[in-house]
Formats: sequence, structure tokens, C-alpha cells
Amino acid sequence: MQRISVWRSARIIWLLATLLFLLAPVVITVFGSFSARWGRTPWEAFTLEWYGYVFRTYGQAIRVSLLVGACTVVITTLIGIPAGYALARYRFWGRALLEDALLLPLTLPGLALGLAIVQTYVILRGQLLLLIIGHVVFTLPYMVQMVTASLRTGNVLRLEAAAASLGANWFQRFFLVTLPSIRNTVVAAGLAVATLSLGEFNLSYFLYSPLAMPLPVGMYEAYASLRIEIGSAFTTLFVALLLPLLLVGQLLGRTRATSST
Amino acid sequence: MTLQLDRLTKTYRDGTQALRGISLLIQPGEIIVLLGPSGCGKSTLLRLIAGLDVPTSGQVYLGTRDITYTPAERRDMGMVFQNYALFPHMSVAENIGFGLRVRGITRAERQQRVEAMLEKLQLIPLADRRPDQLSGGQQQRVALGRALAINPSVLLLDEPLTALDAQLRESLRSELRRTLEQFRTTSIYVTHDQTEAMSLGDRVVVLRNGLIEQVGTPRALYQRPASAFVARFIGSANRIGGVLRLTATGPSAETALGPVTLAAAPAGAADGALIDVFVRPEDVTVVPAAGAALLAAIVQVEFLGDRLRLQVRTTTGATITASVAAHTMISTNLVGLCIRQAIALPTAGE
Repeated sequence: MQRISVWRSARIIWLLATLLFLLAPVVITVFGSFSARWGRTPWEAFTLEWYGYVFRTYGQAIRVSLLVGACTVVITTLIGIPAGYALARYRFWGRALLEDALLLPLTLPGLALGLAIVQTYVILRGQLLLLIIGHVVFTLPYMVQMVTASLRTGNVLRLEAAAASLGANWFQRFFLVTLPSIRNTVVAAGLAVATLSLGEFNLSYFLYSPLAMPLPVGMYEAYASLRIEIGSAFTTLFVALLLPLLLVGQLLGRTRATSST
Repeated sequence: MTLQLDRLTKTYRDGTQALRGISLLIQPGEIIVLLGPSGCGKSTLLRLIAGLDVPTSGQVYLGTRDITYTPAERRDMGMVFQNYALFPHMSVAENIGFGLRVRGITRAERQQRVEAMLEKLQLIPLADRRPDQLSGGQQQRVALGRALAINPSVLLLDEPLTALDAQLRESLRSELRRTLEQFRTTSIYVTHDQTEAMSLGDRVVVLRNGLIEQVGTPRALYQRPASAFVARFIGSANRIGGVLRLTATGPSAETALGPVTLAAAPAGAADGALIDVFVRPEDVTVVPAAGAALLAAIVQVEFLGDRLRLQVRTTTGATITASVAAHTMISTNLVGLCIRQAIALPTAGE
């Protein structure tokens, strides 16, 4: 009994120490973004000056990233669902090869992928389109993988068979049964794609045009050449932007897990 | 419309022969049960009938129409799946109306027919519920209603009771039987459970290794099994060797347990032929040892509530299972046995 409670408190202390270690940089960054000078706490010297600066200087970058993210989500969804369906439902020559090829970008560092894209599509250099293409290539594997996996579950297969036995043709099966049953997966995958797109620096660094700088590049620039308080404000804004996406994704993941049993 | 299966075979890519030539004629309104152990090909056969898979050879006829390669969605067969496969994102009413909706039936008529089906299955108070808010029994009724709403030419049921626990299974079985009798749609029911097969089927088709072992009414299968496999798969049976005796008083057998009356002689067997004799446990009765022709020592007694299941060892050395009424007095270790009747089959060497 005694030993168990010693174990328990040791584990709790370890957990708290780990949390503190992980969260300290975040807390310090958030504090810094609201303080007039680095090293002061917000209640000593509160200011919103850095946020104003970020919005004036990098408002455009945030807008660019939101636009690129939205386009990336729409395109990966439109390509990912049919691709995932084909991989999960049809046997055709080269299917395994195609599946592997689609997952290849997962193994490539963003840096290498960015360099490869920019060298291949020289003609698109400096255009926003190039950034979107890069992000689609980078995030598509996640969408395809999640869609394929959920289509391969026995549950969805049985629902499709049931719909067929009731007289539903391919289109009716796909739109009335298949799509609604993988809806949560698609939304969760879309959120993952949005998160990846908004936060991807390596790839974006090679593909952006100076006139349309994406958010992570802007953040890098802020840290590299401006006051650390401005970088902190930028980071805090970024986290505030991503947190809801992550939370909703987590929530969906939970309902998906319970509804599939 | 009759459903005719003509020499159906199915060989899978990996060489597994799931079906090795199945022919069967199913009459309109009949409830057919496909029964067999797992791997016997019953589920594959149902998928071929449903149109969810195509045979390697052979034909399926609905009436005079060859539907062997007609896809599932153009067969007009309702199917009830093992886990019911209700559409989770639709209400009970929408599930039942799905088949009508995809047929392009107008909203007004659809509503009327769904309503009628809800009424018949006592589902009206649940019309707006989602499947995950229903009990197992309610889900079964919705699955049946969904399949029956399209007025199917044939209703297919794929082990609908297998996933349930024993008690629920029994009550749903009688409910299912009532529903099937109420609608009297030609039905094909797949199961590995012989109790379900006996209680639901007008005729039972026993499958084994991709072939039909025997077709018959539950009673015929039980009383006149065509093979040792059927004798043991449906009910249980003690197997003993014997010699056939055809006399004026009827067929009998000389066995290690003494002379035994036979229900019928195996077809084509002559007097004096070596045969296999199967004795159902309930055809063995326990009598006082004094004066009995056959004596046995009791090895084990299992109390099953309404019955006693006895393992006995006869003085001739055979171990026999007997099932007697629970109130049978067993006061001594040595009892007499009397065998009421037995089933005779040609020696198969199985």
C-alpha cells in the first residue's frame, strides 16, 4: 500500500516536471508577446504594441497562408477522396505501386521536396500557384491514407453491400451511403491538412514569392531580423489559430473511434 | 417466382474451392435454411444469390430469367446482414425508405409505404430514432423492414442472430419466425446453428465442403439423416457397427448392444450387410438392471435441468451417451439399457 502511493506520487511529479519542461517555452513566449520588454511580465508592463506591429507588417502573410491553406484543403479533398476510393475498391495493374507513390512525399524532407518542385516548374516560380501545388503534394498522402483506411473497414463495405442489395446504383451508393459514412474521417483529414499547410516552413521557404510571403516564413523573418517580442506575438497568434483546428480534430477522432465499434 | 440454382461452383483466386456444384430449386414462399459449419460455403452461396459475387461456373435463375451476372442492385432481393448494417446517419424511417428512395418512388407514396411497414413491425414510436439508439431486437426489426419494404422477390438473411448473446438470440428467433411467416416472402437464411435451422426452416439444406450433404424438412433430417455427418451435425448420435437383418416384422440390426429396431433400412442394402447404426441419446432409456438384456455402468451424470445426460459404459465395452428425463431415478451404479430405435446408414468408413 505504502509502496504504491510512493510510486504514484513519483509518477505525478515526473508528469508535472515533463509538462513544465514542455510548456515553459510556450508560456514564456506568450508572456513576452504582451510585455513591453523581454524579461518583464505582462502585469508589470502590458502592451499590445507587438500585435499591432505583426498585423501591420505580416497581416498579408497571414492572409496568404489562410488562402493557401483553404485551397490546399479543397484540392486535397477533391483529389484525395476519389484516389482513396480507387485504391480501396478497385484492383488494377500498378495499384500497389500507385499507393506507394502517393505516400512517397511523407518520407521526403520538405526542403528536398521544395527544391525539387521549384527546379521542375521554373515557369511557375514566384507564383502563389506554386506554393499551393507544393502544399497539395505535401499533404495529399495524409488525406489519401485516412480515406483509404476508413473505406477499407468492414463496416463501410457492409453498408455499401446493404445499399446495393436495396437497389442503389453506384452513384446512389457513393453519395447516399459511402460519403456520409466517411464524413468524419474526411473532416478530420481536412483539419490535419490545414494544420500541416499553415505550419509548413521548409517547403514554403523554397516556393514563396517575396510579394506573397506565407505565415511561417514571415515568422522566421520576424525572429531572425526583428525584436523577439514581435516574434513572440506572431507565434502566439499562430498557436491561437491552430489550436481550434487541433481540438476539433481530436474531438472528431474520438467520436470516430466510438462510432466504429 | 421460383429460384433455381444450377450447378454453382466458386473457386477463389488462391485456389480455395468454396462451392463445388450446388443445385437447388426453391419454391415461392418457402423458407430455406442453409446450414453448415464455418467454411462449408454457405455464406459464399448467399453472396452468389444476392449478386454480391459471381460464380466460377453455373447459373442462378429467378423464374425463367438468368440472373447469374445481374448486379445486386438489379436483383430485387432484400438482404439482412449479420450486424444489420443499418445506415448510421439515417433515422429508422429513412433506413426503411432507402430502397424506395433509390427506386425514385415519390415522397408521398414512400411515406405511406414506410408508415405501413413501421406499423407492421411495431416500430412507429421509433421512426425518428437513429440506429445507435436502438436495442438489438429493434435493430433486427428495422433491418427486416428495410429489406422487406422493397417487396423483394427473395429475402436473404446472413446469420442475423449470430452476434447476439444466447438469451436474446432465443427470443429474437421466435420473433423472426413470426415476421417471416407474416410476410411469407421466399426466404433464404444462412446459419451454423442447428437449433435456428430446425426452428425456422421449411426445408434445411445441409452444406459441407462446398457440396449439399442433404436437403429436407427439419424432421426428415433429424429422423432420416442421409449421412453420418448429418446425423451428428443435427442433434447428436452414438455410432455403433452392426449387421442388417430384414425380417417380416421390419428392419433391425444386430449390434454390439444386441438387436436394435431400425426406423428404416438403408436404401439398397441386403440382409446381412454391414451397416453403421446411429442411436440418438433420447432413444436410449434406463431400465432396472434386473432382467435387462443390456447392462451398463454409469460413468458420468450431467444435470441439465429438464434432462439428465448420462455417459454409460456397457458390459460389451461400448461408451454410450443417453439423455433421459430429469426425474429418472438412478439409484444404482449398474443400470439396464433399452434402445427404442436407431438410424441405419451404409458403412461409409467416415
